[in-house]
Amino acid sequence: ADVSASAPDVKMGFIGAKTCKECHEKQYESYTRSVHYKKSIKGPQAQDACETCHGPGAMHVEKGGGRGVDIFTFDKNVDPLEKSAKCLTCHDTTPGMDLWDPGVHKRNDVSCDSCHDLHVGGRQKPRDPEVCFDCHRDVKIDANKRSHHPILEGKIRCSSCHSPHGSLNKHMVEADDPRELCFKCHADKRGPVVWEHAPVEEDCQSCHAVHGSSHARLLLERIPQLCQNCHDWSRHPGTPYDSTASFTSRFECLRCHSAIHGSNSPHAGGLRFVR
Amino acid sequence: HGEINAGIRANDFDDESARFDEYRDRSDGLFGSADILMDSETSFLGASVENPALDDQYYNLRGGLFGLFKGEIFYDELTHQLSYNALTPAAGIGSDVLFVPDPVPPVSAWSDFDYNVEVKTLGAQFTVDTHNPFYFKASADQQRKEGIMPYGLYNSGTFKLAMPIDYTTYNTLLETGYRSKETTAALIAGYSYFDNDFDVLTLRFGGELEEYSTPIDNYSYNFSGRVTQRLPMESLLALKAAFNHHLSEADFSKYVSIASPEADNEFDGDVRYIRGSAVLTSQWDKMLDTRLYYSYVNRENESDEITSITGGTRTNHLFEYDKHQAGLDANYRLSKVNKLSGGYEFDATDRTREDAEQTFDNLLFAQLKNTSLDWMSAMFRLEYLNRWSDSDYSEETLSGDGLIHEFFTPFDYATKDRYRAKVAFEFNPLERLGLGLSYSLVFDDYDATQFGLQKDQRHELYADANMQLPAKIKLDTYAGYEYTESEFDSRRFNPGGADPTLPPDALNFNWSEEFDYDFFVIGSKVFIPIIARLDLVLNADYQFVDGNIDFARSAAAGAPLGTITEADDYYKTTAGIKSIYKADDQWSITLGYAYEKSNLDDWRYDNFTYRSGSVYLSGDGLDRDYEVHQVYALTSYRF
Repeated sequence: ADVSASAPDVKMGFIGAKTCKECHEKQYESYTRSVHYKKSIKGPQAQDACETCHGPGAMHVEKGGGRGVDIFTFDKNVDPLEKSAKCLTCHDTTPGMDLWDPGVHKRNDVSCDSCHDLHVGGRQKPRDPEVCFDCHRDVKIDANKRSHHPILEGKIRCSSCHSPHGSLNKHMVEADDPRELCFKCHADKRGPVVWEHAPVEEDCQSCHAVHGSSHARLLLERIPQLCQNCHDWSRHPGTPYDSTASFTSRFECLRCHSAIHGSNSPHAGGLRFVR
Repeated sequence: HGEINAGIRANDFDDESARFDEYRDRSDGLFGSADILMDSETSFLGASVENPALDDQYYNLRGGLFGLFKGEIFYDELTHQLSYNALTPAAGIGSDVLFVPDPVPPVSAWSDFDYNVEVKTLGAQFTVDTHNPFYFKASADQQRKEGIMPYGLYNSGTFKLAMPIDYTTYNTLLETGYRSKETTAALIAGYSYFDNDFDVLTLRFGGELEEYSTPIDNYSYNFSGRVTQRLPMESLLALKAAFNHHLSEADFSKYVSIASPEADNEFDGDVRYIRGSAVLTSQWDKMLDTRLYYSYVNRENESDEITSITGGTRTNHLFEYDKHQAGLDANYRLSKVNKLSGGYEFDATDRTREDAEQTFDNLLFAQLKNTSLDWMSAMFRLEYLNRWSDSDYSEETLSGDGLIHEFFTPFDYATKDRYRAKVAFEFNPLERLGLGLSYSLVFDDYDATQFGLQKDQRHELYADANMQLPAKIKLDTYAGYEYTESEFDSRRFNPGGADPTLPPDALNFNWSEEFDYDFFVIGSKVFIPIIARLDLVLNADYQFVDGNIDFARSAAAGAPLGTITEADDYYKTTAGIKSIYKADDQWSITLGYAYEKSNLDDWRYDNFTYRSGSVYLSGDGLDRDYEVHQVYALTSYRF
């Protein structure tokens, strides 16, 4: 057969979408509402419809149908590489997909259909963060904690910070570096400042749990414990602030060291971030 | 097609707090949302509106021609509520000059104000993506932050006062790229500018004037490029290079009471980052794939060196570093249902920092995934990290208080061994039943540290389930438990007493603490079809934190230190019930009730007083608890 012929029914084993619809009406209806149905989008789907992804259906029909009987399905037990390969036939040149291979998702058996529901009308974009939380349970828990970024409130999406389709950065961060990512919203911390606090200049995550924390300000540990994990000196830095500490000495280091992300003061107190 | 929702709600507060309004506006009155998408064979146009006129309103207009371009304009407001009804003796709240009378008036004469920051972002993005190999993307946004944040100041007394926030950040990004089946390339350029309207915060305490720095005006350029090339053996080589240039200017002439150390009254900040990455992924055959990678970061600090005149003679340190990271990992399919993964990563960091000059990390991991049962998958992972660090101190030259550096090591750079184990299961025993279960343990051993963090461990247990029960009842539930425990040793000393071998006394002694936290969360949502067209949805979530800190020191140093039994102790309960009546396929009406209660107990706030000696607080940590009942009605129209 001439596989380059324009009519779908002359390709080897292809039966056309109308035949599929006879048994899979619900899936067909959702397909017609999807972007994939748009004839103006060039690609094999404009011609092959259902069989673009599911493969030729003749044998499937001949054998009387049945789940996975001589037809490609996107079921859980199907090799994720094979499933993604179907999508990448067209989408390997979609902007942002160039780093799919080095990405963590591909290497951990996440396939396109793990996140994208292709038979939902109108939009194929995943529900973010719900879809991400299905696998990243720890992040879901963190996002629920007392101190958190506004992920559950819908003001930050997982994809605001991460590139789910792959990245050369750790954790598939959507920036040249995790700090550069933080600066998108927190440019006040970018500096350069006169008096630098070295951990701030190296990694925000030295002190902050980015998805959420049981401690205020998304801190890894409460203050003063967090500060004392790095600082000891004469008098107050090394003093144990136990339950017998006086009221005035209970309060946290930031009561005086407010410029903890770096100070611009010409005063020498900037060195200790108190100016 | 789309959906329009409009509703009305009312709250009844048993206890009110800014925490209830954090990131959201749930005020009494009307609320709603709309999401509309129109499309044709060739184009689409969509619009979304959420919570119009409220403090968390969001608007989005998007559209495009399929196969040609798409664009989006959005406006988003975020409300960051920190604390209501804080108190202050200062006048001038909201400005950059605060006046506190000396003597400080009694608390009853202080004025109240709210700590909050409103964030308003206006942005747009545009993508041209036609059927030719080239594409183009552009995005820009402006973010405004206005409000008041707590700020601690020391000036003949300690004050917690109101820092005015008036920030504007402009971000722009341009990207153009080429793609083919074999090769892709992208060039990206970005510019960001941050402007703070308040350059200096001034406190006048009686006749005394003190000045404090605020976030510096700054701007940033970044340029990056990446290339990917498909190679034989189903390999892909990806290369990336990036240059980020951060610049800032501090105008010291704006400080009246502090002498400028520079003739030109300026500090010019100039920090440059050069980054490079290379990754080679290969699919050797159906069984084996590998990833080989390397990345490099260099931080070069060309900022001005400043030597202070006021408050002592101090020179700023220009912090720089180099980081190298290289690794190899591989996935090997032992069989169709067993996949073995393993890898090694080496990190080396060299810093211009005395207490952590060098760090070398060796990370090893192994992971096994099994899918031999149709209804279950299992994953087991082991990870080992060995970190070796070195300081730049010369022990012979350490003296006085500095002698403590011979014994104390900062936790995030300290030499340590880290062990991590994780096991995870996914169960699908029935078509409409899914269960997930995972447990992980992380243990850090800082065995080379004398003073500093000694050990910490973390246990995480998570579970979730979703199922469809008879009568089309759906249940989604999740639970999590985390336990963290840390051991820490340190030394309290007065000047001259850093040596830990000195006999202990009331002011010079070694001490230790153990802190542990239990965190537990559980939540469920049940969907129950009552009768045709009438559904009931129930939800309930509960979480708590229980923190404890135990201290110990030698009896010769004094009485035993007291355990803190309320360390960030917290609980939160949410519950709700709503009924949804679908009048037809388009119209539905929802009636609902929601309940939230949140409570923080922390030792720090026990017997809180705004004024104690020369300490003047604003109570910004007090406004934490709330209990709210909410009723609402919502009508929805789908088309």
